[in-house]
Amino acid sequence: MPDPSPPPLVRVIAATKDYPLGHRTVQALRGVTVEIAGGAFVVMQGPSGSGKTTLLNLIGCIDHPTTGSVMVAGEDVGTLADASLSRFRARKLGFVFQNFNLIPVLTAAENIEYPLRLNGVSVTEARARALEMLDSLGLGAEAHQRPAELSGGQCQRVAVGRALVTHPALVIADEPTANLDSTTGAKIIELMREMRDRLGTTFVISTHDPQVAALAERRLLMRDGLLTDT
Amino acid sequence: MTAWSLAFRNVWRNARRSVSTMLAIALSCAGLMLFGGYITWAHLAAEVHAVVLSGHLQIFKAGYQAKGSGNPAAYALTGYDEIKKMLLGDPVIGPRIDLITGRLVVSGIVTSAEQQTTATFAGMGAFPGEIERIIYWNPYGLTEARHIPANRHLFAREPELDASDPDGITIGEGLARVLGVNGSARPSLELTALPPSGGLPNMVSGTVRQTSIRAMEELDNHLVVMPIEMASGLLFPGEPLHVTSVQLLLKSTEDLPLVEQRIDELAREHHLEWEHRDCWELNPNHARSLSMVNMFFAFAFCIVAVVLVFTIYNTMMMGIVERTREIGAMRAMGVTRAGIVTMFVQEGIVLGLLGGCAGIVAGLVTAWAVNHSMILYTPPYFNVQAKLEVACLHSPMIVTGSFLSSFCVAVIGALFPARRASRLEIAEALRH
Repeated sequence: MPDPSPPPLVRVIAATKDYPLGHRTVQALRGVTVEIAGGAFVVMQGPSGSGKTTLLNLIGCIDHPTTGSVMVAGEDVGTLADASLSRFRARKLGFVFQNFNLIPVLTAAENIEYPLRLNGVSVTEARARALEMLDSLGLGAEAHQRPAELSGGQCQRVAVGRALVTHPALVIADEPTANLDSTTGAKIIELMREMRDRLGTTFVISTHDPQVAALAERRLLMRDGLLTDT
Repeated sequence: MTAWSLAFRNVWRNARRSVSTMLAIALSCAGLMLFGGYITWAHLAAEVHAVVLSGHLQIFKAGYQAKGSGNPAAYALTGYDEIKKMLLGDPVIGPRIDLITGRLVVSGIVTSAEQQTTATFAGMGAFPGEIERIIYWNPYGLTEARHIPANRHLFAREPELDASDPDGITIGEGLARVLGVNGSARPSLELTALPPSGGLPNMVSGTVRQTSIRAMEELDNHLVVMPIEMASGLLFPGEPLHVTSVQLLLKSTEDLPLVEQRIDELAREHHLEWEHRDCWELNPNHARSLSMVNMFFAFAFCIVAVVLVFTIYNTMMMGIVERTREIGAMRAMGVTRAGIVTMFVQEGIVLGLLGGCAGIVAGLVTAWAVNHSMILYTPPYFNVQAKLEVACLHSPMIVTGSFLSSFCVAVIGALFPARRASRLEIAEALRH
């Protein structure tokens, strides 16, 4: 008998998301169903307001669907209490944000150490792993610089390192190149692909940038809260 | 990188705001220390003054407090020497006693034949030498009114009574003025009192050694201090020594409850008709003044606490608004709500510790400056000037209590914003 195909890393089933806006309700998602396999490099595209970030937030377990369900790494995240969900995110997920969102009072190395410390890794080991990650990102010399002393591209590389240092199953990147010039943006996407190849991490990236979309293995197109092409 | 180093760095992220917050904490801590030091001084000064007026404890014949003022002679104690011997020989009371002395209260009319003036007097017979030890009792080293230059002319330069001067008396400055003898050298006065047994009034003569001021104005206008033998002779001519009360000066005020309890036991064992009053019962205004001062302190503490809570709250809330997206990112990375609360509370702790330490230094420096400057004022019920002092170092509780109070208030002030930060929705915070 042939091996059954492995279960998808992410499974979103008939997810809707409503937001109150004044006296009316806005439907950001109108029943999205999608599966993402482990190790995939997925790019999500669509115009502003199409629901990309909302879907990313659901997949990243930082928001709950109004109806439907979201399963990540075999866990129905809707059933987890807030503290359990936080621990789940710390173990299984990494995030890369459009504005980097590095902690400004920490150095590049300390920013990368931070999620390791959240996972209970000792100070010494966290420091060693952070420096190793910075070396692999080509930022060994900037380990003790604070975000304000780094360029946008360097900050985003640190953010990628921070997302990957815990070896998460899934990295969510919301417009990671939006604040970077096209060359730096391309380098960041290349870096993510390289990390995916090396570590097997699944990447789900939202973007408006056709250059980034061109590098995707799979594209999800969104419009008016619905997936129009998977 | 530890949570504490992150908290420390976050505190210095906006140095100007943090320094102003720490200044608020430091000022609160220093203010509490100084007010606490002043209250402590007020307590010590009230204790010293109450003891100076009446000793730690007085033993009377039973019923004196209720009826004796109408007939003090009928409630006088005899056998003073035996009472003194019994108390000094008692294993509980004896070792705790600094001085036992007797006093006899007598009132009547004082006349200056030379000036042809008359006034009523409130007399106190005391043992020469012993009265001085009570008047100048000062175990806490407080600045005495007689050592303040502005008061110096008001105080006698010699002892009020002298065993080698059996006719010598001291009268209040106000009484000397009323009798018109305040400019005379050793004027002679006649003291007249009615004996308790009735009949003709008794009269004795005394020469005024000096005039002396008493802290309380009413006393100053009527007081005559005379040797106890003279007072006893005025009320009980030809009889053995009588005393209105036996006055105890203890080595420590803390021993008062124990000594009072033992006196009750002795009275029961020996069937003695005694009653006793301590210095607070004999000077109820002192205790009332202190309870009022304590209320002031509690009121001031509440105001300081409320202001400090709002200051910390405001600082933290501004920080939270500025760091909303960062909080969202941290929560997305896996920091729990409790972790966010802990982070902000740790920042409150850092602010409280630094502000509290600065407050202790500021409080001690200000206390030193106040104690070394001659700030004078006239306390209630007094007619002499007192020096403003703050006894911050009298008890470690003042410094530690002020520090802990301001520190705890700072942490409480950080709790509300911390809780609010922890309840931010992650997706909303990231959109901020």
